[in-house]
Amino acid sequence: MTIMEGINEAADSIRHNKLRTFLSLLGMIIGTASVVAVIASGAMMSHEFIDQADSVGARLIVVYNNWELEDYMARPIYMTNKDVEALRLKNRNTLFVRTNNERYKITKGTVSEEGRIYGVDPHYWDMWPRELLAGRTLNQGDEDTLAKVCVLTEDYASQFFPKGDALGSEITIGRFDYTVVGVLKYPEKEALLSDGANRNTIFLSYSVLERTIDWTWFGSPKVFELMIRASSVDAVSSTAKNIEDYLNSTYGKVNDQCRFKIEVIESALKMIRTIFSAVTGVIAFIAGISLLVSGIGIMNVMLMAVTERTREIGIRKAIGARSGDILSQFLIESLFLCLTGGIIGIVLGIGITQIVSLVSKWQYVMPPQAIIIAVLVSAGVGLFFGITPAKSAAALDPVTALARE
Amino acid sequence: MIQLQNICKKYLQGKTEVEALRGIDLTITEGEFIAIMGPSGSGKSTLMNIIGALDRPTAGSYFLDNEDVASLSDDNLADIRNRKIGFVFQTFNLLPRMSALRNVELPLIYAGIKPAVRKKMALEALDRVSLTDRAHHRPNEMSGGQRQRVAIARALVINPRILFADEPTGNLDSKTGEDIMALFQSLNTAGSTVVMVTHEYDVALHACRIVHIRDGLINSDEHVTPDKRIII
Repeated sequence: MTIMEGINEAADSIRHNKLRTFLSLLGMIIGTASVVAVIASGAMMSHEFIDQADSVGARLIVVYNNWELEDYMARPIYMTNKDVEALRLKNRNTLFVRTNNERYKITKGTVSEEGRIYGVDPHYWDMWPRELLAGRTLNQGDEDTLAKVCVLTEDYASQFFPKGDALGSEITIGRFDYTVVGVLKYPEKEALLSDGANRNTIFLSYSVLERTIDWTWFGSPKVFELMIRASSVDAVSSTAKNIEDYLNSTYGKVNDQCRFKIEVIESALKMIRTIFSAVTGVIAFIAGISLLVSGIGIMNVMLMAVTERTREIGIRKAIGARSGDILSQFLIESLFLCLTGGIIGIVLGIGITQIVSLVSKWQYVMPPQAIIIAVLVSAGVGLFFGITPAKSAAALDPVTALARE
Repeated sequence: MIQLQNICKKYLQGKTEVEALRGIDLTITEGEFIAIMGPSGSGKSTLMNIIGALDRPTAGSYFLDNEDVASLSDDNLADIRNRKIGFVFQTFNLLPRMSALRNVELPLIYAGIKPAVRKKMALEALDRVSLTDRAHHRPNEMSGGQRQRVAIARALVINPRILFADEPTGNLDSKTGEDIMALFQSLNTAGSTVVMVTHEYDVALHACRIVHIRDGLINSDEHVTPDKRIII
């Protein structure tokens, strides 16, 4: 008996038992659909958060004070602007962004609120792509001339300038007045990797903010945090090493440890990615167990089919079917049954994934491995749970089978 | 063509051993039309199963075309049934889900014959039983006589050496039964060897030779004289 004959027979017997076939396949359909939906949703989530973070994070290094050191409180050591200058000279094509946070009272007319002021170097805007609603971002000219200009987030813009006339207007931050040159759109979706800004932030040029701060306690202006973008993904580790070497040679080590934390974001992302795919894998596996359970339903239906069709098997054997012919007939039937369920399940899973994508606003992604796994597992279930019924059908004695009513 | 020597068949029914056949010697030559008769429990069905290669004897030898059938494997028996034997059953034993044509094609599928050739052969066989116009009907859309003719077409389709009929008229009214017997007679005249099991003497009289079985043994083996034989 050829495969085509077998598929014909299988399709025929499914057609004649539509309801029962559908019910027995229900588990299969739901199982396959959930495996597909879980794997695809995992991929969508990963695409949404991790891939997005990758575009910024893959080349990012962050340097800050290592407060875990035991003598940190006794001998706090900070980077200086001189260090940043030296590092800039040593690492060509590498972006260095100093950042500093302060809280100041922000006043415009009658509206007044203490808020977050973020001082950043001009390359900040290259490092973190942001969308502008109006105006421009801060540039090197603003930094060099210590221009009293600022950029607001849209929330602040509407809070302090309800009439929408923020651009070009003055706003008081602490003791000084600043002209608003830009309004930032705040991203709709929360990003995995944050630049330290939030919905309520005012951006100033780094040096402008630095000059508003009283550095008496520190002696001279210090740099608390440095964001670095390496020239390429491959250069990240060597750049990190260069920075560490420079800092160690300048400030010395404590207990053989660098006095600063040099964080390569990529390695953190790698860990998140690993955890992420592990979690997706585990959930998909649990969904896969339901497929195994549905396989038992398939086996039940096939055993019933063998019992019901004992006479048919007898007839087939009487006219010359070998045991192998009967075995393959029933095996093909259960394989066909499971693949039918699997394909319906895949279609359903694609539908669920599209709904998930619609509701969560994640971009729709259907990884091919989700479909490959679903097809392979349903075929595997068909073979594994079909073999016992098929064997019992093949083993029937023609005389006894024919005598059965 | 068929040689049975001292065929015995024992089987267990619950815990008691039943001796269905106790030493059957029988020779059937090519072109014969033979009826096996006997009351129920006489062993005639068991004998039929053994000659039809559905079952193996417990003891004795069975030669079909000089081949010792008793010693063949299950798969070889299946091939023998497929190529050399055509069965016609009392209850027709057609597959209800398939058209007449598909039913007739079935032995050819197991013989590994290509679809195009298969269809042609099946239509020819249906033509021999005058059912070409019913080729695409299912068994439940046909009368009993038509169903039995489909079954005969299925038995004939591969040109078997012997045609076996187990109470072929048992489920038919007498008029239709006559038609079926006429069909067997014409097939026999055309050269087919026919072995028929029946418990009705009137039906048996359509054959050329009647073998009576009783308690697992051959009771009598008579030639039907032309004056007694019913020829339609």
